[in-house]
Amino acid sequence: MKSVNLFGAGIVLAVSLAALMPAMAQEWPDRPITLIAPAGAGGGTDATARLLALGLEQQLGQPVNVVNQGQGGGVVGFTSITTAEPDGYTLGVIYNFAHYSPMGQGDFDAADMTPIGQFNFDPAGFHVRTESEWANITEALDAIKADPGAYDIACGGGCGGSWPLAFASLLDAYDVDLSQVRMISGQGAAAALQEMVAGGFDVVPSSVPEAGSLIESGLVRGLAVFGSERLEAFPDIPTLEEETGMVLELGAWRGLVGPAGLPEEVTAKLAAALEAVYNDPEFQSAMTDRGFGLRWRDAADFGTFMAEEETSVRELVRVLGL
Amino acid sequence: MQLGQLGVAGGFGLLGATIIVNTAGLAPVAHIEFGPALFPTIVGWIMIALAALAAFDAVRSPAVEVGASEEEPPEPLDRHRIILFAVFGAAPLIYVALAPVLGFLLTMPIIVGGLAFVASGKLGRSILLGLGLTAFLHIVFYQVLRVTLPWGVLTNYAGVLTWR
Amino acid sequence: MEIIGQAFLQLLTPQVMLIMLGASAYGLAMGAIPGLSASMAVALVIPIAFFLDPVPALAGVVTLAAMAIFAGDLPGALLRIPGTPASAAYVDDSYLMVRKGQGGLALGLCVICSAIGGVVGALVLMGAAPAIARIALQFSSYEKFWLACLGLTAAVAVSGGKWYKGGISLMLGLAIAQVGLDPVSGQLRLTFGNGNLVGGLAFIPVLIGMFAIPEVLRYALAPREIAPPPIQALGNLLSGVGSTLRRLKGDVVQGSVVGVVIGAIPGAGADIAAYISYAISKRFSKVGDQYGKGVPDALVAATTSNNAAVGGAMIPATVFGIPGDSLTAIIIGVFFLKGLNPGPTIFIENALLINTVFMAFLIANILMVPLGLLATSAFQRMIRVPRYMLMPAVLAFCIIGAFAVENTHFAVVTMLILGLVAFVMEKYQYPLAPAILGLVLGPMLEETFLNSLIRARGDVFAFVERPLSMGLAALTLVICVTPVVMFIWGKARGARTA
Repeated sequence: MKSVNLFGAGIVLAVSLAALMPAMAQEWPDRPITLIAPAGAGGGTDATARLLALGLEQQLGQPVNVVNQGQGGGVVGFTSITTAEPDGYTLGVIYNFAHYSPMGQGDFDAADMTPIGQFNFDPAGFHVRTESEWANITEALDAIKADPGAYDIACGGGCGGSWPLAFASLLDAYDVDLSQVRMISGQGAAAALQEMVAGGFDVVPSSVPEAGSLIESGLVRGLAVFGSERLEAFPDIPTLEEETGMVLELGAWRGLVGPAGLPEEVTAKLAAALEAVYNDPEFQSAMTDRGFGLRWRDAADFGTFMAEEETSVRELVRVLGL
Repeated sequence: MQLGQLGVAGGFGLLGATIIVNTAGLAPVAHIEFGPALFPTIVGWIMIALAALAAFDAVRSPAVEVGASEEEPPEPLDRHRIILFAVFGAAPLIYVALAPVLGFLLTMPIIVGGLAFVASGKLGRSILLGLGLTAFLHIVFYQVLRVTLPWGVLTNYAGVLTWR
Repeated sequence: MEIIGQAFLQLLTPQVMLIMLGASAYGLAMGAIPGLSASMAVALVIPIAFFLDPVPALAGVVTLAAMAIFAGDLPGALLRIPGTPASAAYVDDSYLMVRKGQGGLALGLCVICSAIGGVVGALVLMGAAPAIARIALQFSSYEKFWLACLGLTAAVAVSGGKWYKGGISLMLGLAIAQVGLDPVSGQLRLTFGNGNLVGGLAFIPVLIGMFAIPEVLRYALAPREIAPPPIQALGNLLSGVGSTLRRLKGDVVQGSVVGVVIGAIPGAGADIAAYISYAISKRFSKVGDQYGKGVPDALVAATTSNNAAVGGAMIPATVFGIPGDSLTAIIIGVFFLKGLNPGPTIFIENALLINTVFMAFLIANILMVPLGLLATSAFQRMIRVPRYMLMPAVLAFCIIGAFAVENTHFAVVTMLILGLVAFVMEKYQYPLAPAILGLVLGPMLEETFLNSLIRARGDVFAFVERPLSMGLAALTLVICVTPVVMFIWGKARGARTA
């Protein structure tokens, strides 16, 4: 027992000595970085955040720790990112967030963040039951336009999320009366797809890989993907443009940001590191293997994109009455 | 009459009322008459009704309180116990207040060691427990499992003290 | 059959076996330490799984989940601090058995029944996953609403003492679940303008708070050393288990079936399964009135059920990527990270890997017997340190456990507040298990009810239009009405004879 005590005391002494050592004055980063993912452990945003953290760790030479804060549909995580000290040691992997503020759920917008770069985009897919009467997207859109209140559309999670808003943008572009459309919230895209198979919904907009296993088993059909090209893994699903002639790119994106007011040298260093990670073939194949789409926007483009999206989403939220 | 039981029942009744009042203003969901206020209202009213029953029972019952558990016969409270109860109850709050400032490595030994000392009066063992447990938690949770425990004033040393 | 053999060989490498043993130790420790929980243990291991090869990583994660769910029974029995929400259903029974000196039987039953449930879950998973998953997919929000109602009826079974106090406790649980963004329209509810409450009162911190904090505070008010129950030697842990299980074999079967079935229904999971099994067992037991007072009969079905549900929940998760509960959601996240994408073709394209994972899960549940007994024995010794050291340590684990699962300091505050509430409730004989049940079922009940109603355009008859929902509705009604009818009938007969 005595020797154990001595051993413990030794450790304590060593730790306190180490603490007394003067901090080596170095440039950023000289200690671990916290990467906040406003999503629970195990989901898509968590997966991309972890892949990104692995790459950034190699680039920056410091541990990058993923911290999941998915409470309140992500509001808690976004609030932590935007209110963090802008010293470059707290960053965030974010996704479509413009609806929180107009829906009264959170108090943050694009101006509260320093954009670093976008690394992912997944186009929304238009999913129906296999036995659905609609053979293609045009039939579906015409039917919804004729009687907007007759169909049940799943929001996946909350109705301000990426997928329902992509869907609403499409209906808006197709001149459907949005105030009549029935959008129903739920516990995520997977749950909504299950509910659709059980007979609950008529349409579930979600990412195509999320519906992938149900499409493969012949329970769900994908009528269109809202991107510029067909997806490599799902070559049978046509794009919106092929079917309707509408040129729209709608879906979910993910990018890296810091709190507003990040020092310029930190932003520059981070942007370079992020670009290097993005261009790393290992990162690219890891992303595609898991069904995540790749899309690059540099800091400036990403900032403009977020600001534009904010304007259009505010308008959509108002029309949908969320 | 059982005053304690009556107080608890009153507290739950008040909670039920608070829930009803607080959620009354929520807008119904589009397309139906109900909304997020429906369930809280139901829960609130049932809680009030049951609390009223509990209150009625408390008023009717003889004033002798049954101890919470047979194995702990009620003993008179002395000052040491009240202090102990207070520090144990306040410890999580103290942690939340101190950890962002002092950091985990400094706060946890104070909390654990302090509690053990107040409970036992044995200084040496308390210090050892505080330091040992903190070191253990730090190694397992921060270094191995990578939970981002706060560093506080030690932030500048975080880089040196993190294993890679 | 050949593939099973190959899968088995995959596990026989030293690396995989070491990882599985390590994961077992980690899972047992995390589950057994009060304040730390199974979902936290799995979530925190993701970064480590990241660096391992797929086979050891996935085998490790499923092993860990199985062990952690079982180990949640240990602090429940020995300290009255259940490690998982599922263990909360029968915590009074196992704790009181230990206090009565039947600790060996209680802990032995927990180990053996958990292993039986786990093995059944694993075998069903390996044998019939695709078929069962198709059935599980047919549960729409109408059926899930009735299932939640069915779960609520279990509250009666877990409320000892005055019925209205159980009711208040249940309402408290439902109310706690309502804090934050509402599940249907995303409006702020019961947040009182506090930004911290937007995320709601998190489940695990509430659970830790309601069970661990009162225990710590009770110690503070009576800080003398109470004699710990005598240590049960490894051999004694199994004495009496065999005969008890032979007597209660019906409960073992019931627990396994209910666990697998409820577990497989997306959105239900192990917690609800344990409560429902407990309620069924109590209804049909000859000693039903002794439940909650420390009889072995009360443990068997529920502890079998929550482990069987782990395998059950993996069924829709692996076949369709639809997790049954929050723990499975994290496990599937790890599958996904290791490039094993769930889907019906997983059994064709990744047949070897998925069978290896299932095999690992099966072996983990068998290993649970020796390792679980060892852990039980070790844990009994560990908690014999003086209570003035044990209780501060428990509090420290609670703080870090609440923080690590939510990554906010507010979770620690949540834990404390609910702890104080629970302390007062216990002092005035309010049962706590119904509150946990309310917390589990609240969101499911509300979301399925309102969403179904929106889809039915406000027509409540839609809730009984589908055959499956009609059946569940009838079952719920029968369970609610039977006791009333029996009561009246009993009274009437009593009046006649008198």
